[in-house]
Amino acid sequence: MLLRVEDLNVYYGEAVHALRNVSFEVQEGEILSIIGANGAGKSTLMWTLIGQLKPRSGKITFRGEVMKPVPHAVVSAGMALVPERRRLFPNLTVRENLMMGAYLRGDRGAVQKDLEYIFSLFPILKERLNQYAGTLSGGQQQMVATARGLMSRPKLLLMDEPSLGLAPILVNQIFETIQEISRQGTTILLVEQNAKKSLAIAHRAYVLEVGCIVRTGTGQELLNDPAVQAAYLGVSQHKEVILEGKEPC
Amino acid sequence: MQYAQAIFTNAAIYVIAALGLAIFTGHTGLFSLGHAAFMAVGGYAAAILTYFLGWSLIPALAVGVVAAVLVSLVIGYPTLRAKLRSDYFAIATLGFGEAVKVLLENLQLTQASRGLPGIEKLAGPLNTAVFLIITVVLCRNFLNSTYGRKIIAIGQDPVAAEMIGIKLLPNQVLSLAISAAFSGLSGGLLAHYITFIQPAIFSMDLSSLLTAGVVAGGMGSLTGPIVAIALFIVIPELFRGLALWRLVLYGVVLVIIINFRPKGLFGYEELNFDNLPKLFTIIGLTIGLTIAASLAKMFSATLGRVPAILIAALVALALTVALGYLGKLLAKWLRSPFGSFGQMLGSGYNHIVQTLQDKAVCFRNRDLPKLRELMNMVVEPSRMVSAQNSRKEPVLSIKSLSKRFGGVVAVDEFDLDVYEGELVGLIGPNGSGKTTVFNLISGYYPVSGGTITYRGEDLTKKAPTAIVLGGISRTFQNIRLFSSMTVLQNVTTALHDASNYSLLEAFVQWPWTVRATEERLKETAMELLKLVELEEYADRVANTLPYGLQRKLEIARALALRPRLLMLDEPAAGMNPQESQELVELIRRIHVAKDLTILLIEHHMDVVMNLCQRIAVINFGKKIAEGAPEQIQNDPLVLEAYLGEKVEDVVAS
Amino acid sequence: MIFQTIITGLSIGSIYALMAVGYSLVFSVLNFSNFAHGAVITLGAYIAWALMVSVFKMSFFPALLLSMLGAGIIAFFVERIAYSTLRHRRAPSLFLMISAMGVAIALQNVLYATVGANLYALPPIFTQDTFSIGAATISRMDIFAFVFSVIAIALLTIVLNYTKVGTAIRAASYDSEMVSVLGVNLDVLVAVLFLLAGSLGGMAGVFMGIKYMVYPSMGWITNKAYIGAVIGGLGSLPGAIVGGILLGLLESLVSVTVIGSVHLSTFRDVFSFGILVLLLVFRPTGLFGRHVEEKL
Repeated sequence: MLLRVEDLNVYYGEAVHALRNVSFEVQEGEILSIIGANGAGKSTLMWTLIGQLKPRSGKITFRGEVMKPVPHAVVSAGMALVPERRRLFPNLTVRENLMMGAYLRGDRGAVQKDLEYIFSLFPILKERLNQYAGTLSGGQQQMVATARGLMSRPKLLLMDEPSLGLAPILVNQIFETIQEISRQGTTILLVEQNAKKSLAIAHRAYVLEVGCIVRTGTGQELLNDPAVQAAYLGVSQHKEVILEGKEPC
Repeated sequence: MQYAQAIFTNAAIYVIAALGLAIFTGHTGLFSLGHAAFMAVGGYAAAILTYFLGWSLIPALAVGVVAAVLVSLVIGYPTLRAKLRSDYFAIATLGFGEAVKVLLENLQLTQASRGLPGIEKLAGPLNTAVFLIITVVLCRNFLNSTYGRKIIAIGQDPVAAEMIGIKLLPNQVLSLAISAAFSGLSGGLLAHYITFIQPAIFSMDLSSLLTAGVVAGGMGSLTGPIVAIALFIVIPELFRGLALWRLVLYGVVLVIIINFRPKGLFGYEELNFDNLPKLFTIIGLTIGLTIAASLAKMFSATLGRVPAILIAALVALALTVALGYLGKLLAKWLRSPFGSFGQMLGSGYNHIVQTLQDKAVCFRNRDLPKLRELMNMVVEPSRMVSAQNSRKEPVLSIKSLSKRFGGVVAVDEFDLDVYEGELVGLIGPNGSGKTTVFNLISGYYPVSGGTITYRGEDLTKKAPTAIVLGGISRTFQNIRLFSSMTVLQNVTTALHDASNYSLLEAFVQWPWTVRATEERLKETAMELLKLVELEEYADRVANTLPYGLQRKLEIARALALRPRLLMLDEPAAGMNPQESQELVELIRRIHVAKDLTILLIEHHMDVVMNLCQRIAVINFGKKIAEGAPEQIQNDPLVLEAYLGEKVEDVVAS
Repeated sequence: MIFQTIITGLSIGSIYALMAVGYSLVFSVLNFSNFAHGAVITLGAYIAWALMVSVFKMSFFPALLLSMLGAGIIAFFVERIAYSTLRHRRAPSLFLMISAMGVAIALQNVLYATVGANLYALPPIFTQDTFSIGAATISRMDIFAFVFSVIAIALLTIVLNYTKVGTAIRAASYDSEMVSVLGVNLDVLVAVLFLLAGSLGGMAGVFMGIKYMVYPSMGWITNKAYIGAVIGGLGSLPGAIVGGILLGLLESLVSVTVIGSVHLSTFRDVFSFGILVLLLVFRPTGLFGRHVEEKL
């Protein structure tokens, strides 16, 4: 088991209970997808996993160790986040952005080799290396953000809405890249509003609804689940079906 | 006794200035670090009049107040108009404060840095006490009126305030002017109490003392600054010999409070039965420390230093605990039926006003029908208007609307017509430009191109507040309530347009108008809360409500503005299926009850498909489809936008 | 005459720039006006005074280095005590500014209460030592301060542009949360930031002390360097440098200007504060600052 999350509870202020008793697991080598509507708590989950948000209760075990909510400890343990809306540093060059991803590493030679790996995934970045990140197109920015996440050589890559705001053709490319990264041996936890595509490439998936995990199964199972289809796949022939969990919270 | 009087007068004068600052900084959230300058202006103006022209105190003070107000307008209007970041604003006031001081240091009229010595001693404990009481009453009355609520709203969330039709600039300037008036009064009293005036008095140290008082006392409170300033003045007096360390104390207190208790002593609360013990504890601690200090000195000769300090500390502790307990007892007694007499004494003013007002309502019933009519419009908008409008003319017509942020095109040649009474959905993937369309309609962003016409009027040239008061209100994707206000206050604040008494009436809480209006506002607000099923939460502070209820409160607040067109931005976000089902019912209910036209952004497809008669789909800022829900669900372009693939692939799979 | 004015302006301007850089560094990452920086500058000057005059009789260079180190360490502790709690709580930047104001008031008045309000002179390194170019008489000290300030700022630029920590500081000036999520220990980064800003401030304090005097309010909140940083645009490094030097030049120009019988120098301070207020009203982002819009 690469990552085990047990009974995670996260609050915003006193009143807003953003994640309620969330438990799930990520296995080595898989693409795990979490789908859910806006405000379901997907991004909250990602920022909690990386250690930036402090859970009120619950346990996060990664590679056998209990993680404290301290980002630099979590990153050096082998997790990396590609955040929603990319969050590049527009005032830094592409190279500097990538090097920020490798901040905790001291092995210069290996970092150089990893750059080659990045260029094999995204050849265009080699030409843009000295350009300011703020001047790139949306698709290229998503590439840099993904590459920046990979530069720390993570065991587990957290990807938050990588298809957001991208044209359909680029969306397809992003999902192909995710599969390629997975084939190269990095485990991926993918959070997406594009439920259909993310379920299609996921080995397993969870459905998050108002802070609760309400469904789980293989990507294919959820893809064929009428309730999931009604709520998330836009192909609603079953209006009356409402997704409800087994009252976990 | 003489000495006690001196301390009291000194403290009272600074408390008046601090109350002024509390009206501005404490309630608008804008920090002024230059309020000493208003004290200087008021003080110098009054002092010149009595010193050179032999005026008497009251008219001189009045002129001082007017002078301070005028100067506050001169500095306040441009700086507030520029809508500076809160810290830039603070720095601008700081620069202003220093500039006034340096100017006075070089002005021949006021004898430069020597100042005016030998001013007649016209202010003493007695008239200062009277002025203090008047100041407290006026400040309290102001804050308990529509005018005060507008300022508090701006302090809590300027954007939300503007979006419920509260103009920022005039209200902020008003608050600064009131605040400067009290500072000017304080400056005038100070000059005539210490009998001299010179620029050095009005340094940054004084401004920071006032600021420290407001921060330590608590933002959004009058009680807090009174207590804090009193402590700041009294404590160093009690421990003389520490005069040099006085300013160190202010600095350290500022750092400690802002770091560990940003609410201050009485943040967002006034003195009441619940916090009476707290006040008594603070007083007990002060007295205890004073006695302890002299005790320690007394005993250290006979008993040695350590036991003396121990005894002193014990005495201080005992006094603190004892007075805290006394406060508790007093609060209990005041609450009991036996205490009603004391209660009346304690809030005699309140009682008198209330009695007067009750009578007033009886006597002046003839004003009520008009008021009631006005209020009824809030609860049930007349249906006449809708009858006049033909079904053919769109209420809201958006033509080739565009918005660019730098190089990014957020909205691109967007068209949409909305007809009277319709419930139209606006959907699209995240980041597709839906909320930007709302922001353009409500005037928050200027448009880059295109037109938005509402009932024949071009909205693109109107201010956000005018658009709201013209009948278009909205809710927000990221909830924007006035978080420290109660649920009821959130709604009454939005009813500001329905109150019609003047500022002067507000200051004296004129019973014949203010009280009657306030009662009706409250009733109206309660009716709206009933409509969204929040009446049982009326007295809860807004940010202690769960998400779902906060969203409903936003809807109630938007309804209080008497909209004809209501824009809801993701009202079901963060709701579970049951809650969103209830929300659907609620939206249906208000749609009919208020005869509204509704524009809805929503991601929950079940909500949209259930509610909307017509749906527009937006992606990359462009409208890609429009039609009935069934049409939309099978539109190939929509499927592509949401699923990111060509429809042939979908069909194939 | 004009040449001399420019030289004087450049010399004082470069010291302003050295101080302004400290304000801007902190502002760029933490987004607040660190009023305590002025107090750190003052303490730097007092350390030099203690080392060179009152306690030890050290020579200039070791005293300068120790003052820089001392000021840097003080800045670090100020951060720990007054800002780190607020940072971790993600308090609004206004709170940090108020806290900084508290520190500034407390530190300055600790000096008044202990050392006293007296003015102390630092030993003249080569203040008296002047030379002439044409009609202008130029003090060696002015040249020395200018050259040293330029070297210090150049070194800072190199650190920011070519080291890992420097890159992280620049990144954090845009998005410190993201920097943290990439594995950078923000506490360490902020500590480095304050050490850098503090030691540059300490250096400026020593030069100020030599050029003028050492006294408790020499680095008070409303000091000129802060105004210089605002002119350049808070948070911008080139802005701070240009703003500081510009203010130095303007000031020395105003000081020698006489209109009718009025010496403008009397109103020199009104002039600086006037610029500050006007600038904030009409161009709050200064010459080089960037504008951030609130998202709805």
